[in-house]
Amino acid sequence: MEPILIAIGVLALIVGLITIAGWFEDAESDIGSQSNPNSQVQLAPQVGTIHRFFNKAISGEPVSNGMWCMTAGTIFVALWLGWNIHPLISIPLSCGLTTLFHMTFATTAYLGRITSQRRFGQPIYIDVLVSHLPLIGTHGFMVTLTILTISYIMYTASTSIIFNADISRYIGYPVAIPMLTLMLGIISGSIGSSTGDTHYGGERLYQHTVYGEGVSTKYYGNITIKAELGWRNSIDTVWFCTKYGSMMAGLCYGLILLFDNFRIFLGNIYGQVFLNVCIGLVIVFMLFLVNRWIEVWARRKFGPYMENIKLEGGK
Amino acid sequence: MTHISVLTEKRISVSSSYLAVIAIVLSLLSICLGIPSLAAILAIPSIIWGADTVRRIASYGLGTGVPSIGNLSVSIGILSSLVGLKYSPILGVLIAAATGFIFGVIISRLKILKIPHFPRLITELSLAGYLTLTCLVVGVAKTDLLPMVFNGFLNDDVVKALFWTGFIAAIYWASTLAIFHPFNAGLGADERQGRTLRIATVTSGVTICLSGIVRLGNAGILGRPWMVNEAIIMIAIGGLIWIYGLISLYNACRREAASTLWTGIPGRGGLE
Amino acid sequence: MDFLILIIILIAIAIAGILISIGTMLLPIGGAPAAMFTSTGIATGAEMMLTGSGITGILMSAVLFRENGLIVMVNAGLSSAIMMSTVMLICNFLAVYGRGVPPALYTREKDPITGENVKIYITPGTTGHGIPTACFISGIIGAFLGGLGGALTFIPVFRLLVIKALGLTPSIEAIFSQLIEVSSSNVLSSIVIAATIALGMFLINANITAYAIRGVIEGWWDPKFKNTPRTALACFLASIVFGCITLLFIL
Repeated sequence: MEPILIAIGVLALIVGLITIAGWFEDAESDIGSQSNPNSQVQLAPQVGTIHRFFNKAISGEPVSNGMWCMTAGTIFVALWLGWNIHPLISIPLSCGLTTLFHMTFATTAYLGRITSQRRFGQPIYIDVLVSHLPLIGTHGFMVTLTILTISYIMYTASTSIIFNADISRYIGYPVAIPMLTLMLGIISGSIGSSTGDTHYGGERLYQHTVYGEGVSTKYYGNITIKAELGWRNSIDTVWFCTKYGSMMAGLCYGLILLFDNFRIFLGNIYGQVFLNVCIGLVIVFMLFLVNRWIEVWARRKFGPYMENIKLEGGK
Repeated sequence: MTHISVLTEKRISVSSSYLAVIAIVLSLLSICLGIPSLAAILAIPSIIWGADTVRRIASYGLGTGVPSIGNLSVSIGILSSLVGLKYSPILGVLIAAATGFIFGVIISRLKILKIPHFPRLITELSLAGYLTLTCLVVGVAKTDLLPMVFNGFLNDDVVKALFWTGFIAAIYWASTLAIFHPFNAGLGADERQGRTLRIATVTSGVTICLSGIVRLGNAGILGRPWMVNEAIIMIAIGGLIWIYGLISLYNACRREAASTLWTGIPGRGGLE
Repeated sequence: MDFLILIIILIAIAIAGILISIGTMLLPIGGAPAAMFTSTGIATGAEMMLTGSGITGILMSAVLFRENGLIVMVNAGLSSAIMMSTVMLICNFLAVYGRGVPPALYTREKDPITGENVKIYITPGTTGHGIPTACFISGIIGAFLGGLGGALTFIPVFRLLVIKALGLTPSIEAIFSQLIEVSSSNVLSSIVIAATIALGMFLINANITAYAIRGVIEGWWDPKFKNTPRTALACFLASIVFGCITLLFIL
């Protein structure tokens, strides 16, 4: 088959998979309440709000996502290159073993953080620990599965022959798999942390404050602890945030890889690296125009800040 | 609600200089002896020393900068570790200490961070990072049992085992997380050294288990089946330390938390 | 080994350190408060965002490993800039539709680029939210410099390793010009070594700058931007020290 056709197919597959990876990565950080909004869950007992959230404090998302994806990539390479186990078996096996590592770190973080808040009276709820851990593991499994698959495809595309065609000119990252999964995991973490977390921290954690204004510092720590039915925990959070915040994080990561690889692809078809630079500049300019449009639209539609007209939700 | 007593004094369970001496002596000795499984297992004192040093630096007020200081020091450690791999472990130790110290002097003189004794603390942290990384690299990639004091062991096999497969990234990132995660996970008003070092035991068990799997893979890639024996030892001992650490951490936290309940309503007590 | 080549590689790594530091200072970083829409900028820590965009640059340098030095650097910078633009755009979408707040900044009354009045859109009790146009432009330039710095660390180390592996004599043209047809499988080890070293240098420089920023920065007009010369000097000195160790390894 023609190399260009195969390369286009690979590009489409990569973009689809990476959108899923970004989506589940942000969902996984919402399940465990990791990264930036976790500062509010940490602050809550100090101001007297006892909660039933899962306080998973494993550093920022880029570092921890890099760790899970790197572990999956390492075990995969050990099984595939070392013992010649077929990738169809070693990819799920390595991702499954990675969830053990993931759940261990999550457990130590929850137990450690809650115990260190002894003087504020926050109890350890064992049912929160036991019910959230499998979900954390599952979401992590999805992230590592997709990123490991993408790394395997990109590595094979750049170093060997697929369907009797050499597509390394068009697509592919010639980086060894553990390093590639580490890098893709770090990028995934920083994207999910900067985009999806605002939906969790700004909207879901403070859902009883008025929609339409930023969360001012006088509300800090008073997170919403009651749910649609009963008392809120992180499973309710992820049910809400998957619908918008995580989706946008996935879209972001998909767009980034699409733009980048499309740019290189087009430049390599015509053999002109100068074309890459021109397309890149056009893409950046278009993104700037869309940003300008949304900024002007929002300011015109929402108007200047108005005082709250006594609308308040139940805490 | 039951009366909560506040842990008043910040007791230190283990003295820091004791940890430092044990870590340097044991880890350096195991690297020079050159037995891979022993070297990987004796990375545990270095990880615990590193976690304790992170705790001491962060107590001066780093806030959310705890992962940053871990990343920083293990990055210094990996650059020195590559040099130590090529020339000699003793040279690597000297370079790690010297660059850590110079780095600390640059940062405190230019007033980027205002932490007292910063050069000394960052030297300790880069040494801990270097020792962990080199112990694990010896555990993962060494194919024979010869001692190495004044020679490196960067031959073609090791380049293939560490760099062609990409496993160096695994060792690097796993060590980073093993060193800074314990204090970050135990952060809070009632943080206690005993619990933090228990978390360090868990993370070191995880790291050794991962290194064992890497060595298993290297045995297949390099085609040397006798590396599998050491790999099985590393995986088994890593797994045992992992499980032991988790159980002891759970027992300590159940005793020391405000209360440990199966379920309950926040602010109104609950079921045990 | 020619002494001049060593000096030039050392200076390249040191300049990369300065570029990374200035790039980080230009990014509009909101830190943890921005995740709750309490401050302007991207809602994550400084070193995390820069590492994310810098790694995109390093990946692009690895893909284009055969090309001319200058082209690789520009492409890596552009990759980084595209990533940062997309992230900032989606952040704005989340602010507008997720929470209903228009973008607004805090340290100036009027937007430094478009001149519109932004003070009226800020929620009282916060220090801005979203990513206005001036922060966007500042972010693009900052990410471009960060990607440039990452590529500048990656290229000399990688080329020196490949030249040694192929057995050629090192020279300035060989390091910065186009490579002859080398297949990807031969250079895998060199790419991994160079990527590890570049990642290490990146993390060191980004963390130094993150400590200097201490949380939130909006762009070049922010008062904290005055710390840039001191921070750039610290990164320059640190990069020289670690550049020396790197040269010890790759020679």
